Amino acid sequence: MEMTEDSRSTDIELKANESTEMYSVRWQNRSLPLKVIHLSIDHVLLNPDSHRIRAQIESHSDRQRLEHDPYSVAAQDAIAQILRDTLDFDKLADNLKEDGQLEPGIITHKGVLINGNTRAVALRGIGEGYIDVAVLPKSATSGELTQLEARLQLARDYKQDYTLTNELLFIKEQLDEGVTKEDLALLLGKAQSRSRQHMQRGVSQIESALRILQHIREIQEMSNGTIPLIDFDPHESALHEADRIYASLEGRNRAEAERVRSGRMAGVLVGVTYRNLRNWDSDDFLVDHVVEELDDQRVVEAVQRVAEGAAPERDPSFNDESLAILEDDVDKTSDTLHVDPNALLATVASAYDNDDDVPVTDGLTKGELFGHVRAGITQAAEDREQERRDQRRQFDPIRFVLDARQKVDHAERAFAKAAEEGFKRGKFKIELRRLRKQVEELEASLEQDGQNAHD
Amino acid sequence: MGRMLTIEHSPGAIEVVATRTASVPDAFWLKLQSEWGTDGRRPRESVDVGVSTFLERLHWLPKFCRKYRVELEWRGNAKNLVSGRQLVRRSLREALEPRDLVDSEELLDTITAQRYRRDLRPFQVRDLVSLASIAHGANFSVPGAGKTSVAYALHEYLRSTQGIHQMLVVAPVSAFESWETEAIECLVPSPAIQRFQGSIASGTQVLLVSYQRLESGYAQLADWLASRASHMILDEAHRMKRGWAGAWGRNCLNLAYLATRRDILTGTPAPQSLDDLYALLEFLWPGSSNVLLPSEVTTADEASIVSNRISPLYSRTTKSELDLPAPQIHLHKQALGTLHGEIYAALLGIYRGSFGLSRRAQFDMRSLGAVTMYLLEAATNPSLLVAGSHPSDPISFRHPPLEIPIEADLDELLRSYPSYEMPWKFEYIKKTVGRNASLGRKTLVWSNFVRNLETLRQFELSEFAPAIVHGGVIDRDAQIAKFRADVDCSVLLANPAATSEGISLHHECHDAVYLERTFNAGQYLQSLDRIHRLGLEPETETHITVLCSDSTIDEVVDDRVRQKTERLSLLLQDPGLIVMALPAIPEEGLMGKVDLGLEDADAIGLRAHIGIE
Repeated sequence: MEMTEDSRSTDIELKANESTEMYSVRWQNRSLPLKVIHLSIDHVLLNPDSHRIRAQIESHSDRQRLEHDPYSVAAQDAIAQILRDTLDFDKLADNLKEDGQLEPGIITHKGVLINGNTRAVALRGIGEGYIDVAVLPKSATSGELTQLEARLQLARDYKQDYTLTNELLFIKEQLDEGVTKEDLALLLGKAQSRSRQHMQRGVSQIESALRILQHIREIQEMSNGTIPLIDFDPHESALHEADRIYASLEGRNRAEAERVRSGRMAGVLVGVTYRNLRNWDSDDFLVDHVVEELDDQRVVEAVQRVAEGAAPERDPSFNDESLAILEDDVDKTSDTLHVDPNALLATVASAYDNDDDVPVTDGLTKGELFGHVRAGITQAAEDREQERRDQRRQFDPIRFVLDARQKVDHAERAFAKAAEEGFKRGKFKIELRRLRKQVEELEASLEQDGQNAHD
Repeated sequence: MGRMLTIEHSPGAIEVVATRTASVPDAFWLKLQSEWGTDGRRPRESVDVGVSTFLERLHWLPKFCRKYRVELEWRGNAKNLVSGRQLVRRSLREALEPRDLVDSEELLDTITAQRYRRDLRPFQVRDLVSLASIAHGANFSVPGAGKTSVAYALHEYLRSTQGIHQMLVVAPVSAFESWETEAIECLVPSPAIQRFQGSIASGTQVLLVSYQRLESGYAQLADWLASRASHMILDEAHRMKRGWAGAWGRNCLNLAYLATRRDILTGTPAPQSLDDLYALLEFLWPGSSNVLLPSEVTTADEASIVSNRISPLYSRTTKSELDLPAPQIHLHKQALGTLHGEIYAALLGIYRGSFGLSRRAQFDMRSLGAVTMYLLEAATNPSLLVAGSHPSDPISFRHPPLEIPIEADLDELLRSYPSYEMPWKFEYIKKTVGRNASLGRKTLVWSNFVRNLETLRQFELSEFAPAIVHGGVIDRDAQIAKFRADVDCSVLLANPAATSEGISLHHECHDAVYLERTFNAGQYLQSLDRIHRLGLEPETETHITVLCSDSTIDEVVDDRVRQKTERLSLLLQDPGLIVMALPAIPEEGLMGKVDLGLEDADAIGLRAHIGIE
């Protein structure tokens, strides 16, 4: 059943020549009519480069084969399984069963599906023998295909289709292709228009995506590549928030920004909820709460060991003369902290893939380490929130009086206007008297409280 | 080939190009892209990064180079860029610390031994000493304090002590004359001075260039600056406050790296907000402004913290040090006429209706501009609403006639207005100018709307032989000469956009009336200085009257201008600024709002006024 590449393209070309049915796509800023053909479902190839499954392929146990021999039967089966595992697969299969295929998919002249991969798998699943596909011109380059896929898929319901990490990979690839941040922001719906305001927000989201991907890669490296990319997908909010706080702190204190981000990511890896992680907004949180809660000698030792291991060794064989002109970013704060979040992150990242009972250091298993860190950060966050609630309550009386003063201020202005138009003076006077009485009562209770405090 | 990152900068280019060899690991390159961006034609191998971003984001480089064993190759001017930046940082650190001042006797001896001949007032000597004791200086003295003379004195000092050879002055064209005459009065023999018109004569020592001209002359100016040790001065430096976001700012900031010594001169360094200082400090201390300024300043406390931090970096002669008799600033408030009031109320009603529905979507800065414009018109002269802007209005003021919804009664009201009423401000001005003229005093009348100026010129004030200056007036100099010299000409009509800088009228005129003001506090402050500046006779009384219609946007503007001026004076530790520039506070009101500290931006004030809080 396996066809050679040549016979497949010849078959497609012949069918296309005979076909009279057309389907138009936007192609390099104009509408391009494509021939639609009716192709055996077994003759189309699933696209290993589809951005919707990039992260899954990278994280796949058989990654080698998928990347090097993507059109082999085994690889194609694996891709089909990945597609079957996507969120909307069952719904799509049901729809196809009921309505049949409504719109053609799109294939390259070699038979690789640019659009319609999931549908092809679903059609096979429900026993359909054929698929309608529109055929792209031979001249299409891989860059153009990427663009086309982006436009077809990202633009449509792309939020459901794309996981976080797939989107990050897509953004990185597009930027490498030379697509500007502005265009990308528009394409991905991060900017609604080219207005300055929209653009600023859109571009900063693109920049944020690149930073997040970079940090994910760094964390994967700390884990010696054992944390699969897709493991970050469930933590979209936590990642975005960690980056936001990083970006806002960075201008003032870069080292602190890095510690906050590392701390949060360590929290993500051990399973602290993102709501709790929100409390980690500065070094203060670390110093006031986390250090105290993580006060387990074995944890501190494990982290210190990693920290020492990670200390930049001067590699004598590396000629760093060309760096002499640059000032090293020296940050002494980390030394004074009992727990360095950067080292904490490296510690949990390197242990991430182990089974729970594997020892990290003498007398501390991975399960214990993760348990301690998770419980410690969570407790720290809860303490912090309690503290905030208490503080708010302390200021409540002042806040309410400030509100009241503002209202009085409004009344004064409103009075000036209303006075001209038959305004009810008597009623106003009564309300003012009541207000004064309330203020007096408030003062009285303050006085009372003061006396109690003295007694 | 080994792992190599090439960093290249051609002199004068606004970008640095970073290129990797194929063996540089992707992890390293991803970090580089996340710090320096992905601009350029082949971002997989090479990115273009703006000079300032590059210099601000170098911190990660040594660590990553060591980790991934990537060596650097510095090409062109790149290394100088980095070391220049370190020099700046060092000298900034020194400047912020307590330091010994240059001895003033010695300094004066040094410059008089050279070409300097002019007598300096004590406050000017103080400014000079403080500027001579710092690597790059800012002179924030009020207009009329003699910043130009001090700049020449400083230049003379730098010539003999630091081998500075030549001077580039970036200034508005209206200030060129003053730089030329002062050069002759201050320096003997006077230096070879030239206005830049596209070429530079050899031997030129002082080169004047306008902000507009920087763009087209950039390459030549950059070459000239780089050719010898140069002193670069930005006069009225607030003009480049948009920094990298604007052409003037971008050119100034790019040239900054080429000058050995940099100075900025302005009397209103942060007229709108502290953000305006950012670009100015960036010019003096490239790459350091974000260390000096916090990202957001909202309260007076924060302003004073910033002020303390940057105070060693500038010198300032305050208006009170000039020993000028304080002007009497009077806020004249009056209710609108009956019909006028109805028109204003109807306009407010329209805005309340349209913004009330989808306020977030519509009430952005752009619509805010238009709303401000129409409300300002309505508070002064409702006839402007249907006229639209005058062709000679400054660009920022241009707007179409108001579109009036069919169902509103505004249309009817506006049609009947001219036959029943005259705006009270026009009557007031006519009376004031008449009274002043009968006493032999000339009056300066300010309005932001050219149509108001033209109307007053043709009708209400025609009997006083008015002179007029705005963007559309061709014989500007003749008009000013007429106001100065012609005894029959008792009034000058002017808009701040065209007149707030560079003209001195303090010998001829001591009365100014503001038909209305805008939220632009800096422009207002500058305009005050036209008739109230150094050289004023000690016993002169200066009268400033600001007209304000009750319960209109005029009140919001007054409130905001007051707050902005307070912030600026806190920043410059100059309480005199408030006393001098603000009308005395009318009996009640304003203070309460200010000290609640609730309303901060103009937009908030405006929303409250319209009633869509």
